[in-house]
Formats: sequence, structure tokens, C-alpha cells
Amino acid sequence: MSRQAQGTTMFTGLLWLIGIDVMLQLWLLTAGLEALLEHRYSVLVPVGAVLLGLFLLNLCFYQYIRRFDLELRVWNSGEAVSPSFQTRRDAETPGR
Amino acid sequence: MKADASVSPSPCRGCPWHEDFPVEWEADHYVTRRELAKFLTQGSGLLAAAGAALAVMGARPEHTAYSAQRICGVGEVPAGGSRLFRYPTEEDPCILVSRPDGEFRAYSQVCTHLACAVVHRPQSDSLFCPCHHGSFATNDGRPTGGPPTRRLPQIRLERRGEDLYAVGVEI
Repeated sequence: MSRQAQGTTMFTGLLWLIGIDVMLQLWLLTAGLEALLEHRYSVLVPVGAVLLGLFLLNLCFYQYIRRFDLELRVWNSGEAVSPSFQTRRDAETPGR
Repeated sequence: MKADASVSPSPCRGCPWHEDFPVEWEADHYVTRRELAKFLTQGSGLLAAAGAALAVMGARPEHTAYSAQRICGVGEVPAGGSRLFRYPTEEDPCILVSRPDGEFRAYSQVCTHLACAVVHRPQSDSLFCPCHHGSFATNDGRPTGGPPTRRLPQIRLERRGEDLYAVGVEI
């Protein structure tokens, strides 16, 4: 499988995960607002913590996608990259 | 975003205005997956911020102190009757109900569905909301019919001699 195809599959998968996380966050926020209106204050702190956790997870996914995308572009352009990526590139394309 | 010539080749590439307006309509409205991922992550951040605001509201201790307020004399409300009053402020309508067994209960008069005023129905021993036909039990304020799903806030009562006092609110 080429690195491009690998990246496309991964990108699609992570995009879906981010989308599902956002849906979950929307539902959780709605439930939190409902709890606020019902004066069940003890629920609100866990809701806030989970919402923050899901955002951090999304941020990690996004950063991973962004870095992978950047390195793939650099890979294709032949410019200098991080040492680990350079090693992989040299191993996969020795004639470059 | 940058114009992508592969999206739609312009039929007017040689036109004099094309140099000044090189971005095609389709290309201008094309959203890449990278942009979608960024948008979703930003939206996720906004939702997390809203969640943090909720958490702050939940963590804040309540300092509501209620003062005692005389409602009426015990003999002023017959068994099966009711009386309106306002508590804890003049903006909070409440209803005092004398149940058939002689006990008194008081609730906020604001329906938990869409904030209409509930009225006492002695024949069914319930509090009834005429707007959407919601009803609540008079012994604990829980919803017994119609659209409401939350119970009515109950007013704590205290009997001092021959008088009834409102001394607090249980939400």
C-alpha cells in the first residue's frame, strides 16, 4: 500500500472519529444543560471534564493528521524532514 | 482558500477580467477534508468551553438563604381548598393546598413544562396546568400526566401557633 493511500485511509478514519466525538459532545452538552435546568448540579462537573477530555482527544487526532499530512507533502517534495521520517523515507525509497 | 484549477476549468480563461478574478465559484466553495477536520476540532473546542462554563456553575456553592414568611392562618384555608401567595420574592407565585387529609402542602405555581400557572383541582386532588393539560400530585409535586417531566419546586412549610409560614424552597 502506498504512503498516499495509507494516509487517505487514516485521514478518513480519524475524520470519522472526530465527527463522532463532536456528536457525543453535543449530546453531552444537551444533557448537561438539562441537568442544570433540573438543578442537579453534581452532574455538571463530570460533564465538563468529559467534554474537555473529548476535545483533547480530538485535538490529538487533528494534530496527528496535520503532522502526517505535512510530512507526506515534504516526502513528496524531497525536502529535509525529521530524522525518524528521514530514516523511513531512505529505507522505502533508497534511490531518492 | 486557494483556487484549484482542477475543480472546474474556466470557460473564459482568455477573458480580460480573468487575470483579476482567477478564482472559480466552485473552487471558492470547495471545502477540503483538512478544513473540515479543523472546523470540527474548533467546534469541539467551543463545546468543551461551554462544558467548562457548566462545570463552573455546578461547582459554585449555593448561598440562597430563605427568610420565613407568613402565608395565612391555618383556619383560613378549608380542607380541599387552596390559597395563592408569593415566595421567596414577589416574582415567585406559589400555591398553598390543603389536602383532604388535613395536611398542608405548598408548591411553586410555575409549571415545569412551559411556565404557565398551575391551579388546584380539588375533585382530583391535583395541580393542573391549563395550557397543555399537565398535572401534578399534591402530596409531593411529581408530574402525573401531560407533558411535564419534572416535579414542582416544593415550599417548605412551618406551623407556628395558628399560622402557616413558608421557610424554604426544595427544588
